[in-house]
Amino acid sequence: MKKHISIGLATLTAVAISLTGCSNGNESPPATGAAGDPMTVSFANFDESVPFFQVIRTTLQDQDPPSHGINVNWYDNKSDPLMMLQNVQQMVNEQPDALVLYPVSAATEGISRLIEDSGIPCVALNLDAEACSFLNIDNAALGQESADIVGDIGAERGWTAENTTVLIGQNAAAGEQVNAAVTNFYSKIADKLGFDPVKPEEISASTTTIGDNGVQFDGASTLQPSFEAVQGLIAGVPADHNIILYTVNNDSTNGALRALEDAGRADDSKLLIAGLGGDSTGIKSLSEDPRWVAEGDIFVSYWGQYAVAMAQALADGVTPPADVTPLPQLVLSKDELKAYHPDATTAVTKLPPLVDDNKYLGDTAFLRSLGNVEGVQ
Amino acid sequence: MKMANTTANTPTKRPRSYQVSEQFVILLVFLALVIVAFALLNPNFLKLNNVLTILSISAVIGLVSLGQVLPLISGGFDLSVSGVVPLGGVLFAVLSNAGLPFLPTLLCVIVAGAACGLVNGLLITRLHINPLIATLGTLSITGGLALTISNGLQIPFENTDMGVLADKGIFGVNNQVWLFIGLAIVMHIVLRSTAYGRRIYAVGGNGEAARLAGIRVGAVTTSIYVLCSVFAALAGVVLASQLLTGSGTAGIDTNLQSITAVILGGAALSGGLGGVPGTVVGVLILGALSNGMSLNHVPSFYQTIATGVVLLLAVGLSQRRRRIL
Amino acid sequence: MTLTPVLSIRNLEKSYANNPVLADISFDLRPGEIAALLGENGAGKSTLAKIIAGSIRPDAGTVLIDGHSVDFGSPREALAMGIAFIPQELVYVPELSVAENITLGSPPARAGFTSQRRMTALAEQLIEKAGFELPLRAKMSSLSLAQRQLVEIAKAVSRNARIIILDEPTAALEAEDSRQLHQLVSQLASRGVAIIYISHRLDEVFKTCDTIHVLRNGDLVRSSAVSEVTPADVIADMLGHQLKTGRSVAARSIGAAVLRVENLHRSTAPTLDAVQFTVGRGEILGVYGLRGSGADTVAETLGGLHPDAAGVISIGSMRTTAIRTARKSWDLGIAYVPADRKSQGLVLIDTISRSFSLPNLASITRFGFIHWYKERLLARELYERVRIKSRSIHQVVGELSGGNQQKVLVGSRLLANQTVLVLHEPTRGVDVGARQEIHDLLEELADTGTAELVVTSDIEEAVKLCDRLLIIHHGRIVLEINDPSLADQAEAIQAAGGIS
Repeated sequence: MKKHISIGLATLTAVAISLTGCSNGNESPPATGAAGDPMTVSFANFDESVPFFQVIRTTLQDQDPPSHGINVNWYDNKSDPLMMLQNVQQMVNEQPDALVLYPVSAATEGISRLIEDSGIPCVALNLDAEACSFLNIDNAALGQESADIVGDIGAERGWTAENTTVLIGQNAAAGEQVNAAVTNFYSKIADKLGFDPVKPEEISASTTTIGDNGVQFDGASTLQPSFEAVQGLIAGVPADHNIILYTVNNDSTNGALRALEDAGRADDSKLLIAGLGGDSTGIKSLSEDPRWVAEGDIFVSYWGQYAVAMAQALADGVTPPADVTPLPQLVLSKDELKAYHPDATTAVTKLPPLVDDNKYLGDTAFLRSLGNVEGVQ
Repeated sequence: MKMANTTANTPTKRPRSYQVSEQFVILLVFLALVIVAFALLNPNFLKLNNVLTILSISAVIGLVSLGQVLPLISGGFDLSVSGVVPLGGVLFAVLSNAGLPFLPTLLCVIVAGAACGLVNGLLITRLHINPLIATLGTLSITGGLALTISNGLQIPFENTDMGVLADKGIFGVNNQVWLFIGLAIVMHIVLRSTAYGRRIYAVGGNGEAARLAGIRVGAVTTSIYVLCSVFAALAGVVLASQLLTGSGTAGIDTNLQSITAVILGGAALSGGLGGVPGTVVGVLILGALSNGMSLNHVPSFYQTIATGVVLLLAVGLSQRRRRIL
Repeated sequence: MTLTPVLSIRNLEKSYANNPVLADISFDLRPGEIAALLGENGAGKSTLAKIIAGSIRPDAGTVLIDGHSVDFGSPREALAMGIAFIPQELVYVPELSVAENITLGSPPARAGFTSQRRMTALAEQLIEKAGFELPLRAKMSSLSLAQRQLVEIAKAVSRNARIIILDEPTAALEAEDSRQLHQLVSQLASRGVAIIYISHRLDEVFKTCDTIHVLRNGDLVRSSAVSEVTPADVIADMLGHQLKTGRSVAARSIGAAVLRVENLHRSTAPTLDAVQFTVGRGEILGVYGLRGSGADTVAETLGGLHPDAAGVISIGSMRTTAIRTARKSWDLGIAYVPADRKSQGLVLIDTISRSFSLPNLASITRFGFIHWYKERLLARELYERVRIKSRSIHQVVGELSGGNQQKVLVGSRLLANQTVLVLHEPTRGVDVGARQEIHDLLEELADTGTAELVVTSDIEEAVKLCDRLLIIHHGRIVLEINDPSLADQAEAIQAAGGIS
């Protein structure tokens, strides 16, 4: 019996020590609750084991928020609604000046209640929560601006309704919001190249062919399913047509691209691609691949600083002008690439200038102190 | 050689069976150490609102674990709870949104849970499929059903009063915690003091001996899986009430967590051991660990390691006890 | 002419955690002597055997081989000195051939290579030396138990063993195989090999051995030549007191038939062919047969283990054509004691008290809840009635000796007061003292009117215990002996073997 206790004690001590050693970089002095330096923001990220989300935290931590006047306490939702609930409860108990939440699903009713009752200002990142102010990308705009760039290049080459097919890749399960990028892309490019006009709302999750020039596949936002989907439909695309490719993210686009290459339909002169995500593959392809002419850069790595800045603004009592505060986004053409990503990695020299609906973020001490946004001092 | 055995000699020492007392004490010590460790690291850990958080979040796993105790005692286990929990939540949301009042909705969900459990029980007793494979199969089916019914979407409660099971209740403690405590007491009494409980332990301890002693092993086994799924469905309703949403993706790792808690509580995979008090402490240990590590902002992968260490420790302790045979 | 003893033990002592297991043991063993080592379970026989064989070290005392003191650090060293231990649980490689198993450990090799041919040749030499025949190329798993034992002995002989310790060699053997083994043992002895023979079977011991050593509670209470003692003396030594031998003189009055079995048949092996018998009130009916004769099947059918065996089975006013489940067996009024108490009969992690009540929870249940007081009461009664020896009534059954476990099993079947008690191998693996106590219990039960059917492979038990004995061969009853005695054993064995 004594032996068991000492085993338990030893193990627990070991665990405890390793925990103290590991919980670094997050010194959390009890929040004062008052506005004014230093401020405390509690941030619950989507899932730290997924690189896409992990980069949000690591980039922000590299920027050393405490030195810019804000202490950030990190929580991990682990893609689980119940975990998210526990985190919100703990965040509320912590009484920070503001909190940032990246919800793991639309199951945010219960959480909204908790947050409302607490009176703590809240930022919902990328997924909406009723009690929080929404910070998100504008998918429709991304699609449209990508269509602008690709459409111009296509028109220069003489691509018309007679000799062009546009392949768009959706992800039905991700919802309308996300797919707005591809539906808007098609609508715009149809306009630019003279296809039959189509409104974005007319393309639904079940649409597969759009007029004579459009094909929609479902790539589930990942490589393999996209590969297989395109492999299946390539035979139906007229052999002499040029192809334009655009999907909801670069994993999906790469899968589709591989299928096109396999089928011999990926010649430089006959294929144009627009990427979406601004991740390292996208930036690299924009830099090196002649067929990849546009990249929708959503600067995911920097979402952290915008979220925290918005949190600071809310804590200071600012009301956002619009329902959705836009995150920085820019569809880069090959020329613009060097201006933002000089070494063809995801690191930027400067983030794009703020627009009307998020100009108020430029007034926050945090963003000013970071000094990496064009036009913000 | 002691041959004579008079009444005066009939020895009736303190029960040594199951050695619950010894393992239980070790568990309590462990829980105490966890609490002390986290309290030292962060004074907010023992604040009332955090303690209530631990309890109200643990209630879901707690309910699933109460159900999971039964299959584990019988020598099997139920993996399908990870599908029944979201199914329960989704069904509850859909039915209550359709206008059905609270009690009938709850009843429907419980019946649905019982049906899932019945399928498990019959697969195991009639078709002689082993519990791992049988419940793995029903896991996919129930999980898939949950997603199909909800169309992959989250289903918010249109009437938030339906979430009463997760509301704050007596003494400021959430209703689901009282529900858990009440059901834990009932389950404990059933296992310890009823003939049914005896049969369950016998079936787990030696199924063949139980059979030859005239116990209807098939009926007992099936009833165990029915009860387990009912608890899982109930847990699903509680979870949905906490989120005020029926979600087809919530509750996905409840199977492994509940099995961990029950094993921590003294069950062995070979059956015949285990019980409610240990399981409750096991649930609290897991809940305190998760909460404490989150509160101290411990990076995620350390949390996973810690949970793994706790499980190995638990299994190690339970293996040591079985050395007697 | 006294030869130097090949083995001498002087003042051997061994304790485990303050529990003395052997105290001041001294004896000699001459070459060619067959010495029996007897004692109840827990008396210290295996510990003594293991010390001689080198797997345990004594705390005090000396072991001398040929007059020289030795201190074995491992069984290997003992083997090298010529001591071989043949355990009850045989250790062999089932998939290898007999020859390979015999030469295992020291295969004939040249430059590290060996071959089937060479192994077979060596094995042939060895068993010739041992003096018997074996199918050398066959796989071990295809051999019968008796043959596998012979392989073990051949291995021992192959290593020039001068002392062979046999642990319960005939416990699981048929009569014919036992006889062969005894012949072999005698042969080996006549060639100068000394044998230590551990067994519970007194008849064998008295037939085969030269000397008898009896251990009781770690003390060596007797070392005598076989000719100087009687079995009764030996049993008294083992238990510490005199036993009543034979059955109660007052004959029991047997009532009307309670269990009637007619035309019981089964087509899958082992088959049953029109088996028919009755058991009267207060009667102990025995069924004896060789393995595979159908004797086991009869017991198991009544216990509900063979739903495909059909006939007409009636108990009192109830009647059925087949007993399909164990539950049905209970409902009919049968209490079945299965043959394998560990895997079929007891929940080993349960306490004695809980094991007693398992088959009849209804007797301690009220409105579904266990009536603690009643359970305690009934358990205590049973505990005394079956004379269990343990630390506590709450002791875990798995920790008890075989005899006590068997008593728990039998006791558990008594609570329900069923009409018919069917016992399948009631004293298998049980030491002599407990065996006698169980027999006494069964007779007491019969005296109070319980009808009993005993199926056993122990002919001595069959003739001593039963009022009537049926011999079964190839699924048919071939002989019925009324009021059997020890003198009938030979006839019974012959009939069981198919000789009429």
